[in-house]
Amino acid sequence: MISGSQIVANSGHFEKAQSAAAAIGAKATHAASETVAASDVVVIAVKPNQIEAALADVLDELKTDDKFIVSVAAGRNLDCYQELLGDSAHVQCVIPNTPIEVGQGILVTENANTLTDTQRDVFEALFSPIALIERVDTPLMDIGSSVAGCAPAFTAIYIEALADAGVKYGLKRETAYRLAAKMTEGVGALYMATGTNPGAMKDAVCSPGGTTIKGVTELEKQGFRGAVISGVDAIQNG
Amino acid sequence: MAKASRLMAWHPCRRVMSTSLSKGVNMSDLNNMTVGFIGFGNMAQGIAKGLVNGE
Repeated sequence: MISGSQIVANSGHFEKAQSAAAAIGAKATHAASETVAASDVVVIAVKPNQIEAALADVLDELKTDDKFIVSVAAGRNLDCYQELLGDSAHVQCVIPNTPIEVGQGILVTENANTLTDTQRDVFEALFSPIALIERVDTPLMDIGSSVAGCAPAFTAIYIEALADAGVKYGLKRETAYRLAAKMTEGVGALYMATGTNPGAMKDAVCSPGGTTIKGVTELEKQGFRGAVISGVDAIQNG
Repeated sequence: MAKASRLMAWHPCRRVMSTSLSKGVNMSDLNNMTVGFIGFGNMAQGIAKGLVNGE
């Protein structure tokens, strides 16, 4: 999409940022002001409780039509940025997930934003090749973040557990991981391509009196479905 | 010193290449822009890698 030379990064630890940036051909800066001055799109990726301090020296530079902000800080929405920057900055808040690294990510994207039409086009052009841009209203950003941003941990546990079962019955570890991971990827891709209800996708694999429905029954007995929902409850109430 | 506005200058009449990526934006536009990260932890690095290598 873009080259590494089109990326600049600043963090509290210059050497770490420099090392990580160099790995993709990008440059690190010593100060946030250098990064903001050089950038058309400013991705704010500090911890939510560090935003005010991180932006303290660049508040005025961000109040411009020449650039826009993409915030990936959890729990910070447009209202938060408008309180900090006023109305003259252009802001889009999103919650990303880890598969964005390989172009298979999600950006839970706040419907409310202050991008111009052109900036919105640039945002889409930059990120839609590597992420599903799913727009939700502000009150739904947290649950969107739980389902898309936190659940990769759940899914990784599922892949690990499924692979453990494969190993238990003789598969090599690497083979078991590949089977479990690609199966998970494929089921997701099948849904995205067809929109088939997940229940119907499950039914399609379960022959009457067959082995798969026996496995599904055992998962239900063990509370698989309820455990997943409880996991999301814990995030929401945490 | 901030760069001169490129975002404001983008207009369909200024398109050079035919590859349309999104409404009013094409590859040449993206080739001329810089993405800056304030904070460069794991998530930010993942986004940066995706932007460079991800498609």
